[in-house]
Amino acid sequence: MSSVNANRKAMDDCSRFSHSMASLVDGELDPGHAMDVESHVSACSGCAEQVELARATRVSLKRTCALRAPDALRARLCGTMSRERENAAEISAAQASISPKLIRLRYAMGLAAAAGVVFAMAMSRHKSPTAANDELPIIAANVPGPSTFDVLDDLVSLHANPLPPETTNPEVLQNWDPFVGVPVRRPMLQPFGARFNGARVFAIPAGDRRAAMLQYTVHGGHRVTVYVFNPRTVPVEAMRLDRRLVGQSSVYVGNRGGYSVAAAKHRGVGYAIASDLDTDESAQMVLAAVNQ
Amino acid sequence: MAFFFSKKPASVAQDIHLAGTDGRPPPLADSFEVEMLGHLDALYGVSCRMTKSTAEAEDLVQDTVVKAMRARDQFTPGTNLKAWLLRILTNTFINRYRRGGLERDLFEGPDADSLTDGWVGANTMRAMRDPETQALSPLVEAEVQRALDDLPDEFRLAVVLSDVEELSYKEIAEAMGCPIGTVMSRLHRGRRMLQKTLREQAIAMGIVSEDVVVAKDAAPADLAAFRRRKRGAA
Repeated sequence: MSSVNANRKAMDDCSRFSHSMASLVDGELDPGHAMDVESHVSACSGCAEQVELARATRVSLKRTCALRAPDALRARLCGTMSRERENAAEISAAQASISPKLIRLRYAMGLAAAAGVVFAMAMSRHKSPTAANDELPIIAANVPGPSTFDVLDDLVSLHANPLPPETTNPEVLQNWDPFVGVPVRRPMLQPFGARFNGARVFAIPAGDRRAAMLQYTVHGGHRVTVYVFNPRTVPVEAMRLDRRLVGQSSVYVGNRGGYSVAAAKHRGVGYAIASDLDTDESAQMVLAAVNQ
Repeated sequence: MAFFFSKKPASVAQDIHLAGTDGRPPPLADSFEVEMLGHLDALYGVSCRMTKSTAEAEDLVQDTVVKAMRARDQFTPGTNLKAWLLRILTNTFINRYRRGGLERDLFEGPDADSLTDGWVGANTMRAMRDPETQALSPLVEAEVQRALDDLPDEFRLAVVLSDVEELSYKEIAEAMGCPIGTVMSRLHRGRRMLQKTLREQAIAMGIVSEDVVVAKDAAPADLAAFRRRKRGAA
């Protein structure tokens, strides 16, 4: 009977220390408490094994979770970071032109709000400078996330100031399917004498969505950028383009800053073309891309 | 592309330089970015365990890096950058996959089973380890990932952040947006579930025999002395 009582007392002790043992293994106990727990552990084979098992599990968990990020991801992130860096440079250039009064107001808004301003400026960087200056503090307080779409501006500015290609090998494109969410296949655009120069994955700034951009040179030395995207996350209809019916197909066309943009979707894949050609030629090209 | 595939951390900065070249002078990568890329494997590892999908894990890392770049002014230099990045990653994960936040703990109230249910005999626990490697025995270790993946998100997150990434309770609490007590409770329950799965696996594989030991196999040799010492200290 007395041995049963002794066992029960020992178990009381063990249960009393059971939470502390985890903290001991995690290195979260203050030194005094740690000594108490350690002296129990050293006297109790069950608890000692519990600690050893916890440590062994930790080692095994670490081994299991030790993964190396794939090189393709590493490459994409390098591109992302350099793009973000350029955005930040643009933002600080824009900030330099903000009137002193607004700057004082922004200081008063505190750190978190200041971050919001930076975000809002990133969102509104395509707007005219005066509008941005006037609206900034209000936008910062109210805009919760990337709700406004100005994909057209993004497509044009990415064409006008192209990022360097991630790859010039067309066979790499299919590896991007999971990033873009649709099959990324290279439109040949042969009737236009197109030469493929390279491609990259990018995030559309206005929508925070991923798309692929393929860069070509066509007859006459014109640069053409073909965007491949998921029309469910980047709706063609939201691009502020005019709908035009060519044969059986809908093509959405528009112009911005001297460039023409044409977009179409086919079997759940969206294509858009930006070029300095005229609107009709861009429309022809996007139809060739979707129908190949 | 070949320059992206270099493995040496020293070449990371160079990668970033090259990534920006298109005729204009490339913007320089700074120490923040280089250090962030140094934590890329950790971010990817946690992402894989949280999303259970390499494609989604890559998206999660991508989003985390973009947010970190945009919020970099909020990072205090000299503090733990990895913990800060994991906090962004955790938030992004919770916002994307669990819009309502993490579930409340599955079992509210005190542990009904603290005394006997989690009880594993010392021999069983010994048999589950490999004394050579200080890890679990290889057959048990092979099941760790599955056992971890079976845990509810909030427990898996706590276990990964603590056991794999060595974040402190405080850092985990900040990342998960909950009190430290909740972190401890999630860790406790998560680890116990993990251990239960692994023990069942070990039994199924015949590594250990089923032990339904309720009594302790060896009482502490000097329990009375220990008690006296405690009382003296108090």
